[in-house]
Amino acid sequence: MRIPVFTILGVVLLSLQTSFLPIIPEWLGLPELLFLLIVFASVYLSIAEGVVLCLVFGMAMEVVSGSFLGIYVVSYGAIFFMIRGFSAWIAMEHSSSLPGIAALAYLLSRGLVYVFTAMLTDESLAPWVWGDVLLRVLIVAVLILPFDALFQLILEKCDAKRQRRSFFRRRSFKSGNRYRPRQKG
Amino acid sequence: MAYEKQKSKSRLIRFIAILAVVIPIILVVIAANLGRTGFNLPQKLTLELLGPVQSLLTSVVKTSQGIWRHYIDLVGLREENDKLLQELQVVKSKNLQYREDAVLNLSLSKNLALERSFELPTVTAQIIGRDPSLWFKTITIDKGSSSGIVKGMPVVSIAGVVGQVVNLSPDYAKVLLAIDPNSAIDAISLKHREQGIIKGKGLAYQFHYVLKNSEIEQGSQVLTSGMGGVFPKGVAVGTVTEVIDTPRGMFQKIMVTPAVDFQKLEYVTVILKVDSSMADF
Repeated sequence: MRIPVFTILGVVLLSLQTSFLPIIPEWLGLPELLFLLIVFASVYLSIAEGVVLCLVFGMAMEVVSGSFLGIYVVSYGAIFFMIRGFSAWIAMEHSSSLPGIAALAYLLSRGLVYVFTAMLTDESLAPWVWGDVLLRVLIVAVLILPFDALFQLILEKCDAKRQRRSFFRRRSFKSGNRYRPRQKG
Repeated sequence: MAYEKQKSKSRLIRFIAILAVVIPIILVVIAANLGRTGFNLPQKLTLELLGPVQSLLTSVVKTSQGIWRHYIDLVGLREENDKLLQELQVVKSKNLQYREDAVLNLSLSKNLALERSFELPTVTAQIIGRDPSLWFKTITIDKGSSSGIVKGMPVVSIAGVVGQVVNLSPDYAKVLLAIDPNSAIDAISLKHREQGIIKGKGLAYQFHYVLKNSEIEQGSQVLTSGMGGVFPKGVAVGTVTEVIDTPRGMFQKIMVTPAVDFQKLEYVTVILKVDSSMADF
């Protein structure tokens, strides 16, 4: 249930990012909404769910971006394990560390994409402009908390639905100890 | 205490075991995809899935922008109207000059037995998505292979060169913009006939391989030369804004402002021009 719901959410966020948000002037910076979901998945979802989502979103990002195929998959996979390991190591509190981790992860993710692209292309790549990158890092750090609250709400709805379903399934089982040996006589 | 230790140890072993399974799977997927330029089936399916959502959002944006323009943004309309009328007069006189040049060019082309085709089949498409990254410049359009578009076809707008189709699915296509650093277009200056290559620099172009003894100057118009076999000859590329004479090397450093305003681009035209050079693209 979680994977389909978050996959659809990722598609919506990516579409917003590519079709709706470009109306914002470039100097204001473009928020990377899909990355916020990646950070959330890295912290709150299981390894299997997180890996699947990172692979899917990495592929989706490559479809809409001009990068070489495979680069975003590598970048998001690395970020997933980095955040996961780091959040387990520091026993991360819900809200206080999240902006810092998201900002660092975004900087690392962009760096990985830039380095891999520079290695794979024989033409000159657009220069790394610290101003643009840091602006986007700031936007990610600011937006992570409200979006985290939204994603938490969606996750709770998914889990509540799953619990209700399993509750009904349990009720259909026969009660009593089915393995009690029959008494003779 | 011992139980806690054992529990954390078993948790660590479980984590390493999961990593040992997951990482090879990821590496296999990455190795299969890294460095590829063509879309595989899952990626085509992803584009087909994203396309309708992007189209829907784009139409919402256009409706909102239409309301803004028609009912709210009326401030300064009269001054803008006067300014535009003035500009129209200037453009009309330039148009006459260009017509004379076109006639001269046409007669020279006939003399050299060159074919100049203006009547190529085209497909108009709407831009439904833009690249969100910082270093790549691509757009997604709402026409694909089902409209006759093939990878490598040139894309233009009324103002001039836009880019080239790089990937597509049945109903959508991805276009590499001419301002992307990976783009290269054969070009020629209108006035001095200096040939070179236009390469993207993110927001503008650089005109490469123009010799230092050339007379190209600021304000020169740059057009496609048609030499690369992709773009037809004579499509506007941009205007020279800066000519820097570098102390070393044979070539000048020439910056060109694009003829197309990529930020405001809404519709593009794909020229259904099939060329042998596209087979290698």
